[in-house]
Amino acid sequence: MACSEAMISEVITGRPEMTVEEGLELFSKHGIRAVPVVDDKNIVKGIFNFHHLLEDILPVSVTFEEGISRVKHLEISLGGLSGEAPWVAHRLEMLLPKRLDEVMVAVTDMHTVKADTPLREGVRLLVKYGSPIAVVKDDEGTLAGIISSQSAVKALLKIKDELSEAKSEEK
Amino acid sequence: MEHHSTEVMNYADMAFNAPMMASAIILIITFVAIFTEGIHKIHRTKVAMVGAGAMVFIGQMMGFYDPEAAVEAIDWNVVFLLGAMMTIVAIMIPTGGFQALAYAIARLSKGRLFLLMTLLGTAVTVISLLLDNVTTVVIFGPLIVLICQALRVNPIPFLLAAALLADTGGVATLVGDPPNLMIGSAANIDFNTFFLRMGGIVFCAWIGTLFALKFLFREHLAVTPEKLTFSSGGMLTDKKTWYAALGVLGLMVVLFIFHRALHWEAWVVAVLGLTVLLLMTSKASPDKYLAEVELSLLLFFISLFVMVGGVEHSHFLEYLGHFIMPLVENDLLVACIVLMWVAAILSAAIDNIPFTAAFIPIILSMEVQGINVAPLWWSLALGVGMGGNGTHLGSTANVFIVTLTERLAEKENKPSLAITPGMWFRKGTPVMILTLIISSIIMYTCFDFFAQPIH
Repeated sequence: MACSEAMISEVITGRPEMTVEEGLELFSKHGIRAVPVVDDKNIVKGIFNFHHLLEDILPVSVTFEEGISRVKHLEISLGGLSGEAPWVAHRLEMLLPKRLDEVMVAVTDMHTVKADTPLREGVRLLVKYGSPIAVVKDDEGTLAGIISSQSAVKALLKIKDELSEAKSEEK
Repeated sequence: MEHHSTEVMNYADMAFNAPMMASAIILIITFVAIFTEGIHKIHRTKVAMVGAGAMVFIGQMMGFYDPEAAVEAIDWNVVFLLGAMMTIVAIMIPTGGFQALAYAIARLSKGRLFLLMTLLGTAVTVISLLLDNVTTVVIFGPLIVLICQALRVNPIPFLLAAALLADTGGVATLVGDPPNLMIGSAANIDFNTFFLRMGGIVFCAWIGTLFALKFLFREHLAVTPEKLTFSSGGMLTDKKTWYAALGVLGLMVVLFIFHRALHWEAWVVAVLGLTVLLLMTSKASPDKYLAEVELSLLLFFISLFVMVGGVEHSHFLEYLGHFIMPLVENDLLVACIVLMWVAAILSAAIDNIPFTAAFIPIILSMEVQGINVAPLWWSLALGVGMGGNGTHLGSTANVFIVTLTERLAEKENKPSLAITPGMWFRKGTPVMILTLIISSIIMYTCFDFFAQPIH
């Protein structure tokens, strides 16, 4: 089974020059949680999603990853001190006018699949990198669609149902 | 260190020869490549490995060095001690104990900013007396930022205080800083002697640093901070391991005090402490913690020892010592103070570890010639230790703090939150100069104390 079976072809996309505020309006209007960001030629430039937006809002103390390797698993809790909510809201406010290509996960830092990639590889990437994964047509990265956690599970359920039907017909 | 084992030549017979030339060229090229890492972007460990390989290969071809001698040149006391200490820290970090400690300090200081700076600085220093001060600063840096954000004050004075005080305080003990360990191991100085000779002078320099910071940041420290409110959640998540680690560290201090009497090298104490701690955290696999050991740093040390060992076998460093000897013989006190300042300036500009590695055999060769080198060891330790405060690139801790503030300024969109090289020059460099002046005065007035033979 290929990724094409789980692919959503009609995808809402964002543009690199859109602001975060406009991106969030897209989320709200269409009830979605992520958009692939594409250029004029429909080439994927990245993915803008809630997860990375929230990551950008967190204080530097917990997202700073340039320490030395012996403390690479240093995990700092944000519990213990209260009263920081206005600061977090302020950081979100600062992000709203930024362009999507400044806050998205750039194509260089993400993984894409092609339509004929086995779906199990698509599922592996969804588990590892989160939903959605962009499906591209060619090596230039022209967008064909996306696979999401929901679309993958839906496709797998469909197969399960087909298998059950086939079994009952055999009986 | 095995440097003692090399045969000593009489300086009168010493002439510059081909092996000296070959080893000197390899040493110089490698050191230049290590110090210019920022330009060519080749990691210093890779550079040192190539240098070490070249030294063994060419040394064997020319007959002054061989693989067996190279293995003997490695100071395993330093490597094992560093490795064990790194693993102990790796066990302590996920417990959340350091964060609980930082927040307890914030609570205790009740909004008095100089008190907060003093207490944070003291905590970072006390921890870095035993553990590597780079790691301590890397752990406390982000916590200081969080506390300062909650207090609505600029974190720069507190971050600088942590880096400068940890660096200064780390000079006081045998295990506080890698160069101390290298010096102590080479000169066979035990934990007590190191602390008794260096404790007082470092304490004076530390107090000087603290009050210099109070003066330099008087405007920042005069503001009224927001009141801190504490909530539950997070922080000390693994009390058992944290308190076990504190207990083991306490036991290690006792064993360090008696390590000479026990005929144990310092690494035995560290490895014993690690073994006990690993047994106490028996549920977890040691692999989890060992993965955090900075192997590239250990390999850097091993490569440096192999390379400097080759230079020693070629007698080039003794040959260099031959030029420094008249100065030392003429006036030991002046030589000590000059060494302290030169070591500090070079450490501020470049990495202090290779400098220490290269200078140790020179002092050892003078010792063999009958000079009282005891005060030179203390000068070297003071110089390389305090020199790290001189520039934003002087130590790994400084680089970390600078990068952290750059990210902070970017994220908060406030350029004033970044520590620039210029700011370090205005606030950090005066501190280094002050600590060196304090150390020089104490060295001058109490020279007999520092000149006492070590053994």
